[in-house]
Amino acid sequence: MIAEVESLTPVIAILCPAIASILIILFGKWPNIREGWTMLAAVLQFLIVISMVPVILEGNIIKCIFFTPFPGVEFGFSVDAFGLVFAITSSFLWILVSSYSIGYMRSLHEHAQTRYYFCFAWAIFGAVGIALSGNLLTMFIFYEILTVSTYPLVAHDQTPEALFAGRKYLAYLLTAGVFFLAALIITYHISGTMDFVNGGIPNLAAEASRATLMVLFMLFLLGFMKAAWMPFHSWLPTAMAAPTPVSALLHAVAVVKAGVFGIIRVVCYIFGVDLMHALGLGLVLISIAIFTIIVANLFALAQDNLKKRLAYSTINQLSLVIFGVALLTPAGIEGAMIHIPFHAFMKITLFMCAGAIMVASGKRNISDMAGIGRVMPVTLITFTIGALGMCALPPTAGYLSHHLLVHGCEEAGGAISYFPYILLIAAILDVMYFFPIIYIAFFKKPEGGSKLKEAPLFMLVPIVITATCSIIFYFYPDLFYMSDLVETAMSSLNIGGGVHP
Amino acid sequence: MLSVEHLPVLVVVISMLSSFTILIAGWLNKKSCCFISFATILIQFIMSLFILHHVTTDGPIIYWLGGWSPPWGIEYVVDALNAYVLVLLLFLALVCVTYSKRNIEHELPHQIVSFYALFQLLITGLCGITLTGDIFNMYVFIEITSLSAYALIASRGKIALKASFTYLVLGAIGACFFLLGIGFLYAITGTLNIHDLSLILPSYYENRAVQAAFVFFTVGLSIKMALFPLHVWLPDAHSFAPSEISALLSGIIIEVSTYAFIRICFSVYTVDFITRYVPIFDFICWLSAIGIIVGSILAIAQYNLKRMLAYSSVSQMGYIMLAVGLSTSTHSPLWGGLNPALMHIVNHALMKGCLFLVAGAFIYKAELWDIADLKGLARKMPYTCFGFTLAAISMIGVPPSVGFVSKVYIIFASLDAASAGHPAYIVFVAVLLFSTLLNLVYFWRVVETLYMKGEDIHSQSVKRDELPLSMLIPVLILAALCIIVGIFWLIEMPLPVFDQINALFGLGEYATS
Amino acid sequence: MILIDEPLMFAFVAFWIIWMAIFKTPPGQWLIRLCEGPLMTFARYIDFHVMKLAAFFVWVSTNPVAAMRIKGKEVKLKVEQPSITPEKAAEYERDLEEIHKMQPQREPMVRLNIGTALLLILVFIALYLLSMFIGRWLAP
Repeated sequence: MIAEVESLTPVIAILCPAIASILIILFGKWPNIREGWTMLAAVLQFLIVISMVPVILEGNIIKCIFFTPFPGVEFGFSVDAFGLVFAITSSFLWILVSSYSIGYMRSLHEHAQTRYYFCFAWAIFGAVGIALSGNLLTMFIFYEILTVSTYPLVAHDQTPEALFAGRKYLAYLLTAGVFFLAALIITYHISGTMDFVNGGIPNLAAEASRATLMVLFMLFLLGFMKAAWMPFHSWLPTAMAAPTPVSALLHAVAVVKAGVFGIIRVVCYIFGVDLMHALGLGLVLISIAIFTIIVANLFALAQDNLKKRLAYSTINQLSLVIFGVALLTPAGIEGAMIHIPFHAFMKITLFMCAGAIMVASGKRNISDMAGIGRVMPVTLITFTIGALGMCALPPTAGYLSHHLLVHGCEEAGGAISYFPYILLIAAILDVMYFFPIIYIAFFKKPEGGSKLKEAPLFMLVPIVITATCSIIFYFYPDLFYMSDLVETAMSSLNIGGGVHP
Repeated sequence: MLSVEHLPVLVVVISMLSSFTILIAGWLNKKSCCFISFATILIQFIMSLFILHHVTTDGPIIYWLGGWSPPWGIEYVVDALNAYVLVLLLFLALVCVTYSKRNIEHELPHQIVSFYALFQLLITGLCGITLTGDIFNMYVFIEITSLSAYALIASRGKIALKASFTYLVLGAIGACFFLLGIGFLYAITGTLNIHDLSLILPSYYENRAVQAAFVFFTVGLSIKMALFPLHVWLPDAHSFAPSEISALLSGIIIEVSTYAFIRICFSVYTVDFITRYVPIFDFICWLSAIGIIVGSILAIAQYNLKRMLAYSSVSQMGYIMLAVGLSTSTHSPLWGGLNPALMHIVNHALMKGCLFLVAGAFIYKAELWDIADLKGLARKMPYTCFGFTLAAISMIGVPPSVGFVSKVYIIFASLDAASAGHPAYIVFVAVLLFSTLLNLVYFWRVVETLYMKGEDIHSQSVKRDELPLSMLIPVLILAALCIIVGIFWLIEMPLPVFDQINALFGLGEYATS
Repeated sequence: MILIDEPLMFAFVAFWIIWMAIFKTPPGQWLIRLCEGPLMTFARYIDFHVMKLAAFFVWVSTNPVAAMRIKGKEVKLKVEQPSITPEKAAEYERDLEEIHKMQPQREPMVRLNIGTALLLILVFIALYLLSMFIGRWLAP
């Protein structure tokens, strides 16, 4: 029996970045104090979020309702195990990225740093809000806050290129917001509720025709353009014009993960696995995911700019999450859920490495990085760990989620039991574009003597921590209670192993 | 002890007296004008709050002017709808008058006295329209409002004269239609009192003159409130007026015309008449839907900030009239009846008021009219630009701002109407969502220019050149309200006032059919 | 299934490393070239056309009426193209060139003159009266 616990904890967690943002503005003239507030808020938020774990692990739900804007729709938070996975991931990584930002922004003498930290805090506000929200309306509100607050970060450089990237970013994501709004309004109109219910909103199937539900699902899918599924992915590589910490936290963790998080929410908690089966939508989702996985990898092969290559790799990995949930089997969904934190840790490592290389040497292109591993060993070793994770090789976390996905395919049965070969092809392509980087960095001879050294300590420490975490996850997936939380989420979802037609 | 029953007439009378006082006092001391005006509006505002409180708790206030009983004398009737609009109107006027002090000293240094005298007269007219219970009296006040508005728009001289003249001609035509409608009704019923009319008219609903009168009212008020094909005067008038007048024009004057329209539709005539004899609301819905899109597209085409805002007003009036048009076919306690329309009247007043005041601030500081000139102003005027951004994201409809709430409510209303017998209304959902995107295009362009463009981004030494406090505070209050009121709507709906209004007119959940 | 999948993966990694050790260049060059060449060209082509579409909307939005007129002329010329005689071909080219150069003018500040506005209103009255009278005549 699920008990609902009333508590203000989620609000306090959300308020940390909001209050920090005000303090950041007030102390804008004193960089040390300003960044102190960021760090303090990040640590506090993480502690508060983690303090909710024991209650959740007992199978309870933490609720905190403010008001009821529409009958049956409450504005407020409702924390469950799956939401907490995302919340822990983004709040923990915020601590690391704050530290990394300090090193990065100061080394490069970036302008408008107060604006940067201010918007960063609001972006985290949005991301954690999405994670903790208990219904579509609350989620939508935070989703839009996330979009708007990240715009100044994407356009941070204020060069025409960055402005273009920002415009494209907004054009895609706010359009997506409109679709999301349409979808949630139609959901409410059909079923009279917007809550996330384990196993889907019960009366959704009875109240609407098949065609309506199909359209509704497509609207949701378009609404979650943040998941960067093809052909609506092109904002993500363009958004790489942002400073690297932004790419690292937002375009590898918060923003894009909000997209896949939303898709999992819709599939498992709005439509429900049974309805998805009945409508045959799982196959639609799988087709989109597979197309994205393969094509994104092919694009990644062709990139020479390291951040762009990582961006395409992100698109690929996000679709892996979509693929997992589209299998509609316990192991598949579990793999998808656990891949959110795992991929976050690995991809953030890679991005932070790319930033460290840029700060230390000013190099952005892979072909220029010959021999860089010899002068920056720590950075490049951590990069290797992240890359191994992307290729789903042990001993990294990526292996585990890949394993679960393969298992999910097997459970699904039918034609889908051959899909692991597609995952295999994807992994092979991953190897083909990550290993050359490692090879070039360590084994190629550098051209001319270089006086490079490692990036500042502020940047190095977070990279090492995330890389270590990615390895620890392999041996002990329960770090930060991740696997326990996912288990709890799965047991409350209670999905039988379905068979695809 | 002054009882609340006398307040409605006092609101109008002190306003009018103050207008003359300003004229005399201004002769002696120019500086006093603004303070007199401010004090008057503040008192009026406080009175209006009392009125609203009284009306919501104890029911309507009825006041006979000079003690003459209604069919002959003029009657002021204040129910929930009047009181609600009155509070909003005086609030925005208060904000604008605060803002105007420095701005007018700067822009119209030689016309301070006449500006405030006319301003006060404008407020008188607006209060009169909202408070009166007599249809001819309403016409008189509409004329007072319009005349002072013509003069105020023209006060900049030069090109503004032409804009004002266009407005004058079209406004006069609108007023003529209105008067014609009154004439028709008077010829048939022999009365001008709204309550009286509503009692007598039902037996004449078959009469063509009565139906014609309704159409005349509609056309006349459509010109006044710039409903889509008749909006042509609005962009010129709004972009050349002094900014606080633009804010009032967009924020409240066209809304008060909407109020008059609602009053005519539901108080003089009834829901029954509109649904059965002259089914015009369907038509209005479609017109406003087209207006929403066309207004937004034309706004994109503008390069002058105030003109862009003016076209955006055309689009926003489309929202309000769409909501009014849907009011007879929705029955939910939340978004049924007039709720979305009344909500958006407030929302639009806040957003557009703030935006126009900021546009005025740019003109005040550096005579910047074009969007392209606003490069990098965010570093010089951070608070003003922050206000603009808040209002702009409200216009786009980012939650939890006011724009988001009214968008959602109107969408729900159209879905409701679509499932209650008008399947084609589903199109409005698409229209509203699409207009969000168009709003995004033209507002984001401005925000981007403010924050992200401009030279010397790396230089730390940009001189702050912020507005004086008396102009900044109104801007920030309106901007903050854009968010606060948005949250308020989400928490507090259904509002008892709205409930009373719907009950009064038999709309929404109180519909009898 | 798992038994097949993962060993294959490891086998590929081993193959890659050995290949690297021997040839000093990553295997599958043909694939990389394919991606860099045709695939990226195709992607850029799509991207280019999408951006062109967006740019077209921006262009139209500066002054929709004028832009539509220009576009209309262009379409008309394109339709005429098959019937162009060789003598007129140069002229046709020039026309097309000219139209491409045309840009929609920005709207002047005061656009509406009172005459237009009045006409508009009169048309509305006329429409209204017409509907009234027709209604009366048709009424039973």
